[in-house]
Amino acid sequence: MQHFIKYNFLLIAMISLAMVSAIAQEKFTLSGYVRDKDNGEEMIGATVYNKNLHRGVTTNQYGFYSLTLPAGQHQIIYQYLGYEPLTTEINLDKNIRKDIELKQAPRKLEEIIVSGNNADSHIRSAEMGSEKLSPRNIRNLPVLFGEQDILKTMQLLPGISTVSEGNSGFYVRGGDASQNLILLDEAPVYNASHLLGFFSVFNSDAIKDVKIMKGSIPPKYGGRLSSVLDIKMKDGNSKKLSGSGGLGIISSRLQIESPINKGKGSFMITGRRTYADLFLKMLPDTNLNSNVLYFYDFNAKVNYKTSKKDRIFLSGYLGRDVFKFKKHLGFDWGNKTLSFRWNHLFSDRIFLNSSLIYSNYDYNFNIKNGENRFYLHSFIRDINWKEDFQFYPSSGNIFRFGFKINHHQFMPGEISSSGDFPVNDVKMETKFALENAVYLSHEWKVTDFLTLRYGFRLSSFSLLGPAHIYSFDNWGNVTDTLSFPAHSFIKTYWNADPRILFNLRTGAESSVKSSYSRMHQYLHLLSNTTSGTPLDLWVPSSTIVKPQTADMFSVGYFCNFKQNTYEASLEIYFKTMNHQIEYKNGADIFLNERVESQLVFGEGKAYGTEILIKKNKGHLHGWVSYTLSRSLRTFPDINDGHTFPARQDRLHDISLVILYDLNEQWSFSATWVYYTGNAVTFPSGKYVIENQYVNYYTERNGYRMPPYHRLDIGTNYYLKKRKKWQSSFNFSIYNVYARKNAYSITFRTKENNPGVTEAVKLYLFSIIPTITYNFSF
Amino acid sequence: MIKVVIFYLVLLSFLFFSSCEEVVDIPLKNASPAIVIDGTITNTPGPYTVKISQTTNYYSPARITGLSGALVFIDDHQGHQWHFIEKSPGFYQNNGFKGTPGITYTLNVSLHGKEYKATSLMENPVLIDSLAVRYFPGSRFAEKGYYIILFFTDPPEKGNYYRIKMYKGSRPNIVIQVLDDELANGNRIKYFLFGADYQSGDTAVVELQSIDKGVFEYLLTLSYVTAFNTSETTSTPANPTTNFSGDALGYFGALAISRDTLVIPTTQ
Repeated sequence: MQHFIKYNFLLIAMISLAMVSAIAQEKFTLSGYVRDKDNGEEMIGATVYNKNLHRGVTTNQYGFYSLTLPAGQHQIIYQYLGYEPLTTEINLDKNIRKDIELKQAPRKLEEIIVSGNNADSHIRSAEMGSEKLSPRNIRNLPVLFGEQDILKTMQLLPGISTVSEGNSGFYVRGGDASQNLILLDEAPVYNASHLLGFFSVFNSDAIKDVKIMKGSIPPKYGGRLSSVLDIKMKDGNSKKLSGSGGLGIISSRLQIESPINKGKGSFMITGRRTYADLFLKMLPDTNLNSNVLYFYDFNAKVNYKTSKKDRIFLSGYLGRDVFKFKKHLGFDWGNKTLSFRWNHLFSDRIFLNSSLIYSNYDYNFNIKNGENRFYLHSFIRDINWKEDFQFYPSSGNIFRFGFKINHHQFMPGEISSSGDFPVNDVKMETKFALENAVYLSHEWKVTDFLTLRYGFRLSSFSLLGPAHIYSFDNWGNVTDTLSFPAHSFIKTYWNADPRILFNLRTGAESSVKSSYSRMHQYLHLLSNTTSGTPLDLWVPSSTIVKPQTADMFSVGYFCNFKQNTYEASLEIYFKTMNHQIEYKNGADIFLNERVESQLVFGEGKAYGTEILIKKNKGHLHGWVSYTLSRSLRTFPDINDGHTFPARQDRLHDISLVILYDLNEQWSFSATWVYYTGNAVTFPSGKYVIENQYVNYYTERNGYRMPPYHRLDIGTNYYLKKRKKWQSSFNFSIYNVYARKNAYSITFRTKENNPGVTEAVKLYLFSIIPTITYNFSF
Repeated sequence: MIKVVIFYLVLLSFLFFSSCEEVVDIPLKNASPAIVIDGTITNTPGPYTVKISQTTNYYSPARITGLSGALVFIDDHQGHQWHFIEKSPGFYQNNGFKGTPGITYTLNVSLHGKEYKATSLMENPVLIDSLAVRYFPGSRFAEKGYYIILFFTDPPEKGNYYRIKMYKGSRPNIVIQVLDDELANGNRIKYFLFGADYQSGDTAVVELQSIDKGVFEYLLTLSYVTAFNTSETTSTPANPTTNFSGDALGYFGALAISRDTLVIPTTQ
């Protein structure tokens, strides 16, 4: 609390300072939206810049900008990479509202760009450890099974690594996969994988913009330790009816967008479904061809401008995986999210976004055999209310503040059965929790060379009744049980997280940035498998499970050369993590009312260096990224208390992405990845119990999987445009040199000779070619 | 049950993605040898054996290295002690007593100046109600053949643990199957016994062992890491949770047994 008061003082002092400089001279505000001329989509992160005064601002997540300048004549440049820049003369003698439309640069080869941001913004921005991707710019990359997946493309960036082969799960800077906050139109997504992780739940067609923040996370975000992945769905074409889609070997998708009431609003609806299970039908084995395994998802969004100052958005996602075995067994799981948002301009300098958000993840498992029935059900449900203000008091100052109230509900499992099943009906206690936060941050361009962004996030987390709270002895036996009534506060945690960043320009095309952030995580994922199984179990912080905390310090050097053709960055980070969670040996977490007795707690530390070099322009473009890092854990109850590498500890991680545009018809691409194998536990001996071999383990994660590397290539062929119909073929080859990368290595006895033990490698994908037909109209 | 389904799902998706297996040469460290103790007593007459051995290198062809010269005895905390005599290297035996349900036994081993102790409570035996037999036509994941259904009634109070052991004639099946009453307390249990691969004419023997919590935890965690186990889903293997003090591997179990026998019919 003492810290909190200190920060407040500092903030008030800084704000008053900013205000004083703001009223010294007569000033007016230029504000408005920046949009795409073709489809009316608001552009996130477009630059609005006054060249003479070196003052600029970027558009926010809703495409809004506000720039306050001294009265007089100004030349303003609007820019966004891949679009033709627009320069206007403005006589600022009053507050001016100016909405701008930028025209997409034609597919002329000199103009081709990779990142969806302004040329030198990574030098000037008050951000570090963050990357933007837009599906439009990555659609030429080779992909597995013809399914563009933004989460897999993201894994080609430094500091972000894949959970396992072909998997959309990811680790950021040595944290585990559950420490990433994934937001889809501001709604948290609890399980971002389809089909055990081979596909992500995000359909690229429906996505406008993706931003991953792995370094200095703005105070607006909280609740996870490692990163924030902020995904924005398209708003829908507000100019004309249009559509797009694709036909692939295992899935197809279709999207329709249209304006409403002459562009006052628009909507977008997208769907996709896999049909790989149809191939199963062709197999002769009756036990296989009667299986069903597929997924589908829908994204829909509608927005409407109710006045010049108000706009409302309603967006939703629905996705489901379905698995059926004959008629007896059914298993399905998926996410649902719904976000209602209202943008309101109080003035040309104060922007407010209000959000009401619902998110749900659930699974159902049932067996039916005549009269005999077994049914298992589980869910996680969030209801969220947020208010986010942005205040632009003067050029060079932006305040962002707001609050969030989030109600969580966890139903770990409910079993009902009838007939012959020897199982009692079980209803695990539903858990309730309240997670609240207020935040304030100030981005301040102190001089032309120094920009500061600082702020804090004050959060609280309360475990609510009704609940039974157990105490345990060292052996996991219950020593005490307390009952709490409904709506009572069982345990509340308060935390203040400071976040600070500065950007020091060291030259025309270079800067040094440094940041410190503290993060808290109140929800914890328990899962003892590595593939994204549907049986995720999230537990809230409680009297036993403390909130996870992380402190991260990072410093980086950013530079551009050859007129922003090349963009390079080097970042070094150091992170400590407390109250990390692992299981006791042989822990049983499934439908265990006393699951907390199965956990052990410890600490983690991660550090590394990340290098990214991009070539943004020209026929030949792409990037190379290299990460050198470690991630270590220390648990008193694991590995005799000795520090051990985390599973995701990877010394080297290299990605190379090359795109080549030959002409209007043909483009080529290649990606190559290499990384050190995961840290794993292998036996260092064996012994015999009950006449069978047992593996003897001496240290946690003391071995390495073999290094992983793979080359993918792809080509896009664009067919001649016919009226409005534009289409292309994508040919991809995954794992070109057919390396048998190990998915797992098991140590077991020979199948025909139990007297001999051997190591067996399982590999998933050899060489896989795919063809996809994409179209738009 | 649901774990089996997940495993099946994983298998099925691997099948989609044309997964393959191959034997590889992975260099492994050679841990310094550790002592392994494996001993059980039951409520049926002995002889009872305690096997003492040590770990070997993973790729070593040697089957088992017995450790000689240990002092081995069991006491019942009521003034009785039964000593075990070494019959062959590492193989210790006693034929002089029979376990009694309700008594807590301690196995004491001393070797090379070190002492190892493990304690196990002999529970009351739970009787097998009956056995039934079904025919399974076979699938990609299991051979065709007969399997047994075991019926028994779990006692009304919670906290019963079982191990189910199958024999074909006198040959034990090596699959470790354990069960608790967490979700099925007090029920009449119908338990499907897969994996024994019985054919017509075989004599199937089923043993229902009532075990204490320590033995249950040992066997459960053992089943995750036996070399026979090929599960792809466990991420971090570890040594089983032993009930021995003093850095020994293995376990000591006082088991209360009930048995039933069934001859697989010649026609379906």
